[in-house]
Amino acid sequence: MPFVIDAKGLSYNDLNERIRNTIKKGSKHVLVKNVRGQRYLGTGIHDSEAVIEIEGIPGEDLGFALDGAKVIVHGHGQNSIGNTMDSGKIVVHGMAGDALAYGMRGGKVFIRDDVGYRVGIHMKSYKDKSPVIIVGGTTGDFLGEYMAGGTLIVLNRNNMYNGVAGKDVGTLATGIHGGEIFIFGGDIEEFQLGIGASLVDVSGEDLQKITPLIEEFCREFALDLLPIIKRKVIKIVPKGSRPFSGFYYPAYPINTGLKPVKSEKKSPCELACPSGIPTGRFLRLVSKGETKKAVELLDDYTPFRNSCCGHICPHLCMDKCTRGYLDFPINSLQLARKYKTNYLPVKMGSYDESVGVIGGGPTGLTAAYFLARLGYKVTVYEAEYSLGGKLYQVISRKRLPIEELRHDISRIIGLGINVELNVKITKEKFLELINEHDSVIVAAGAQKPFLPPLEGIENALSGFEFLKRYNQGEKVSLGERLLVIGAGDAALDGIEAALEMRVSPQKIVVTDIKIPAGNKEEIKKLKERGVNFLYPVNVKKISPQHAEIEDQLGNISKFPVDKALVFTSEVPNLDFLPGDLLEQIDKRGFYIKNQEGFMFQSKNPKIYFAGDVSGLQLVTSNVASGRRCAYEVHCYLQHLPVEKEIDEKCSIVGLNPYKCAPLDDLSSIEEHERCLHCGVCVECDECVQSCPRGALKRNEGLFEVDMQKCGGCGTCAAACKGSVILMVPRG
Amino acid sequence: MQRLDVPGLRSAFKPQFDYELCDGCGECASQCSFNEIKMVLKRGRKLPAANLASCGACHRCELMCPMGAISIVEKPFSLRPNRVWNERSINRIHLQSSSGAVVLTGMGADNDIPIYFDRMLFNACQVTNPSIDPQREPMETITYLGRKGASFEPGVKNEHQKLDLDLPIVFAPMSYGSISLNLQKALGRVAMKKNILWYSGEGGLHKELYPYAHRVVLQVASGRFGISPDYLKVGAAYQIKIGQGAKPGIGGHLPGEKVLAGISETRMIPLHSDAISPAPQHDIYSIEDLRLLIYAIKEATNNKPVCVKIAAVHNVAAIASGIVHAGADMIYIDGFRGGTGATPSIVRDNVGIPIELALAVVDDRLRKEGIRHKASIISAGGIRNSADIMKCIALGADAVAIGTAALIACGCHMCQRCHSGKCPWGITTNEDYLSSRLDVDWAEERLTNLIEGWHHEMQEIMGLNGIYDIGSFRGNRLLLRGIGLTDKELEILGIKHAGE
Repeated sequence: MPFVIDAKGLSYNDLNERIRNTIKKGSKHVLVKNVRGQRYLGTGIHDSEAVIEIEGIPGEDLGFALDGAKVIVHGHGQNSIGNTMDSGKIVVHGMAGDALAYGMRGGKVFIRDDVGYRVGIHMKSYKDKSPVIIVGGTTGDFLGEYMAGGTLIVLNRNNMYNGVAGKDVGTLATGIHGGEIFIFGGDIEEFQLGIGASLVDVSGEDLQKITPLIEEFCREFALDLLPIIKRKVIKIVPKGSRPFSGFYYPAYPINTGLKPVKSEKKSPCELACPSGIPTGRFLRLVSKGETKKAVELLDDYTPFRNSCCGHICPHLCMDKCTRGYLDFPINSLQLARKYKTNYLPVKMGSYDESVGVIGGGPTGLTAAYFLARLGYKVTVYEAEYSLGGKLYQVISRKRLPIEELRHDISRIIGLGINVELNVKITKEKFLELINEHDSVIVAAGAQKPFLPPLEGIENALSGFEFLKRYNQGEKVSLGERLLVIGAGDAALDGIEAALEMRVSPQKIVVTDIKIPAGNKEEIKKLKERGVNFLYPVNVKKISPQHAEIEDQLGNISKFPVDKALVFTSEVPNLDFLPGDLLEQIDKRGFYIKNQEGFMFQSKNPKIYFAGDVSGLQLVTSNVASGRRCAYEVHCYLQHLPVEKEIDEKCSIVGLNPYKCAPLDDLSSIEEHERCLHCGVCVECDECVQSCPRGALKRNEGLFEVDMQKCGGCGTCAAACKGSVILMVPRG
Repeated sequence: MQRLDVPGLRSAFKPQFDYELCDGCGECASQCSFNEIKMVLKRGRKLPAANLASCGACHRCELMCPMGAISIVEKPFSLRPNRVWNERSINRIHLQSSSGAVVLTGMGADNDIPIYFDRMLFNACQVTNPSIDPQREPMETITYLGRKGASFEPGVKNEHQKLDLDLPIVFAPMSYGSISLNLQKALGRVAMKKNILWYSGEGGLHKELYPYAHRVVLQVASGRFGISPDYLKVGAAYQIKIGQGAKPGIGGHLPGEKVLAGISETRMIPLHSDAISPAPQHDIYSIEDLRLLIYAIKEATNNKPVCVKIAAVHNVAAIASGIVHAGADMIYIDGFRGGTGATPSIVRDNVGIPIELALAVVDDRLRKEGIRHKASIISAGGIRNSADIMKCIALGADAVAIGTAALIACGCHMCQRCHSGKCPWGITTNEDYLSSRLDVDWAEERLTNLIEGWHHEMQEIMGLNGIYDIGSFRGNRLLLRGIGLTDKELEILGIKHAGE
């Protein structure tokens, strides 16, 4: 039996006092009769077992900051019921006024009939404490304004069609950033929704969640659940928990407006190398102690590492080395000699197609190597008795030790390449090869000496022929006095050979029409030994006894000469080509390659031209063209599109050699320690360690920036050894 | 892309490094929470360099540099001088044309609005009445806040609860969230020790602050954050926040990124969700509604005193009168220059009126209505020293709140970037690595010293006027004279001009 209090004539203070005292004394169930507008009923009672029944009409702020008690009103309620309520339950058998459950944090408010405006404003939930409001009828405008959590259910038991949850434009749930609103049986239009609110479909999960709540509501008021729940229901949720993000902007900058990004790009050395050998990435692996991996990496670029990189290459990479601005460039020659390619290359796949390669020089062998590595059946047809082309025939053994060349060639052949030596390609043979193979690469090189149209040129000897014969061990008589026309590397080889043959250095005259293209160091040495270099001059005439040479001023001087060696140029010999392909040959005899797409493909898509046939190049350039040609053949045979190689240079701004101190003595430091790793992440973690705010994480290739912590100061970018980290504008 | 808003226009300061002294330790870069300093490698040495983008002259790097190698210098504003289109106006346009947003700032208004404190002077005793030496004679500064009887009758006990303060200073409301927990702890400790009050602000009361709840005025604001049954039990008094001097008429907004674990727990909202305090309290649309809430709070807190905080606005006197009629025990008036953790600068710099004028008219109005005894007045908003406090008291304030001054005592360098949550001094931030920079014991000592120093000065000012009880100073406008003020200003302030 409830304890009955007659409220008639009592002020709210006295009434509340009596209710509180009654409950304190142990009567948990209190029935308050004759309530006429007394406010704050239920406030200040901290007892979750207390039940307060009210007969009459209570005043405003019923259950303000309610803490656990259950308040039942048999009659209508006023404004601000359940204001800032913490827990407990308020049940109103009737209607309720405006501002119901403002800032409610927990507990339940059940109103049987309609409620007023501004219901459930700024309701919020925290962890397992989540408030619930169920309204049996309809509500006014601004339902769920600023709602931050909890559940608001409007049952609309009388199936009103209009004004179920207010009717004005943009008032429903405006500013909602948490919680959810369910509205039954009415039609809610998009235009009613306020900022941040969105209408969504109700899921089965939602219904499972709200059905027990509605059941509880129905029990309180002895209503049937089914007719209520078997109706259309819509749900309103916040678009996000940050309805006003981006609304404000700081007056004073709070960060630099930058953020770091990691972007690995090609280093200057890699870009300078015609074969694209990534010295930076090579040295990264070396510095990590993974020497085998490092050397294997270069297998993807050249098969001629020992011979080309280790001996004859002019090392364009060193010209562009950033370290060179500081002290000395990274010495690629020494690197190639130190970390030799001794491992056998690995086959990557297997294809049925076969490819024929005409020419066993650097281009042909490179193409054969890459195709064989991919898994094609490759046959190399060589005109001479030995593979190697000019590397074998022309280049002096002093510059390129024969055993290095043999090592590289044997690695290539080791991939299972068929080699046919002494094969002279004729028109018939060529057609035969086209039929035999799925694709044919012409890498025949430029073998035919090209002698300039000088008077008496018939008295001269092609330097190319001379070297070829000399390297084969044949004795060629040079006489005592020698004229060498041209001063490129081949000419230097010729001079070396002549000196070898006991021609006195003082009796050798070397002429060139421009500044000599040969290795400067070697020219200097030869000059020191007494070889006479004349340039820029023009040879006018060669007779069996002397040569006439014209200098820049037009003065002609005569030099006594026994023999003249001409190292000017060679042109390809492509007589074997069928008529239609001859159209692609220029008047000097060189093949004209395409400018893009399949660059090496001829009009006959089976036939490719690579290397010196399209113009004389460095060995390393020929290696590059062999590799590219192999790629194109692969694309053609497998019907793949060819992709252009991306030559994106790393940031020049970041490439600051002054990050390091210059060294005077290089003997005590390894090259990989000197390398500035331009554009290459060496995983040194300097960035992670240097970040003053600990905002960076790096793991293998992963580079993560915690933007909450990062303010874009740029220390990481400054610390990055390879200038891999760039500062870019945010957002 | 065109770069109109170059950083050079945006940051007016920069750190200057003396590389002769610098040893490259990098302390400056890690101290700078605004990322102005980066460490660069130059010729193999790691050296600091300025980004020239985000320095706000907080001086953290300068003071933390072990080598004394840093000085903060002003970056000259390089555009042609123009009184109308000054740096601030131009910057504002760049900020908004790049963001489309409302420009946010921190701290009180720093623009050129008259400071009437500086135009009022105290009287002093000369010959005709003796002054008092506070160092040798007792000086009474005890202040009671709350509703009082209309008259004093011996033996009749006032039924209303009151708060007793040893001196009429309170710490202004600064919420946990806008300032760090460490600073709130220091404020709480000092309030306990010096028997004054501190205000919690809207962010609830962190569990570690419950020991200091005895001297705290807890807030009930529009967001109703952290109002739990315990919260309603422990406070010394409760404050309904209607407005704030730095942002009259607008609400608050603690962005989600600042709602960290401790704040989430104290405000009782999910981690990283926005904490939005609506502009009005939607259950208060009238004085009658306010009365409902005042008495609701009294009912819920066993009749603790209730304070209502409003911003000083044009009709502040009428509003204050309404608040007293509504039953408030205290009115807290926050003036134009009042501080803030974050506010749109357009509001801060253009809305509201200075506290001196507001206080004078409110005190006057309440006296004329005969209800001055029903509520105490607490004035706030740009109080810089003990003279400002005593001028407020003479204009009629019962107590005076200090906010910014307390922050400065704890290391604030007024860089006005409280809203960033990156306060390098650990004051207006709750990120662990920053807030741990503020040592509670140190802050407590600094604040204690400040209060004691001001207390002495206040007693001096009383003594030199021959007054030994603060009660005789309160509302005693004859002690003040205006200087360089117009008749209207003097009329509003209720003081005579110097020389009169």
